[in-house]
Amino acid sequence: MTPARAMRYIILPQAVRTMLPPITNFAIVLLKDTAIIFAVGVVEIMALARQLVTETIQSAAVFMVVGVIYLCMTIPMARIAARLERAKQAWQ
Amino acid sequence: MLQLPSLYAENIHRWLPEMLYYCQATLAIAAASFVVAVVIGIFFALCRTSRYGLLRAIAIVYIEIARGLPIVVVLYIVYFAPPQIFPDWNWRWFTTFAGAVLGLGIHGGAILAEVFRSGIEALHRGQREAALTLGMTPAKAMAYIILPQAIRIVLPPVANYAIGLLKDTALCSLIGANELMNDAKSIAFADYQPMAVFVLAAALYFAMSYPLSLGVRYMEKRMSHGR
Repeated sequence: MTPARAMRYIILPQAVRTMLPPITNFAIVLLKDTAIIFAVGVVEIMALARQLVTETIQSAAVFMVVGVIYLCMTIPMARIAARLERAKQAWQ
Repeated sequence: MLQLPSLYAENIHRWLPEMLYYCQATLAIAAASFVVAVVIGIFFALCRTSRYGLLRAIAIVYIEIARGLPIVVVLYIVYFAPPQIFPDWNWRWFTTFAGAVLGLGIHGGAILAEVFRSGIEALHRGQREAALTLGMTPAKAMAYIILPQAIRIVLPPVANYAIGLLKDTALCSLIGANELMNDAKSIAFADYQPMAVFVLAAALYFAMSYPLSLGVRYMEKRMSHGR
């Protein structure tokens, strides 16, 4: 095999399986870290929530709803990460 | 970029002492929330590995929720929600410092609970069985046999968490805690020099966290010799 073919057909298919669980975990952390970009003025959930709080003063309700929204995104991703991890361990 | 040196030459005598003062607040928040996180973490790690299904369930719910939320959201909920849910209580003591420590502590507690659990589970069950055979109560076996060894295993990840925690204290500026980032923001906007001030703040954060990470590297090296 040429080195390129070895990489394409032998190394990468195995490496990707090993890399997938940590990459998924990183994606979860990244998703959670997006919650701070409102600090530089990007409009996302947190920016909207803060605006809602200034309008309604219902900070407890608004931020808890925001929390539930984030959980709806991160918990399924964590499930997928755990499954990939189990699949990796079964394969190794 | 070119005027940065002259900006610092002009202003550093005003900026640096003030920012160094607020570095203390940053370190205080980090240290206090580390203690809170360790206490919460040990408690929930013990619940998570308990024989009782209810305790395990409570620990799982707590860990999943606190780990699934961004730290900012935890801080906002912890700091803003309780006074609104219980408006009749006295919240005078609940300063931004207390909110920051509690928020970071709750978030870190879930991370450390998982770390401690992996440490407890990494020990062979025979350790516990041997301790029980020697007539120790389960609590004594945990305190004298399991935990001392588990702590040795989890020390490196806990130290890494501590470094991350120091950097995460910057988020507490968002709930108005008086720490380095908040001070940097107020100086930056007062003097219209955001870049110079934030670069200085970055240098101060680096000066605090880099010695810590060197220490962790040294500790990891030493502990790998021991086994």
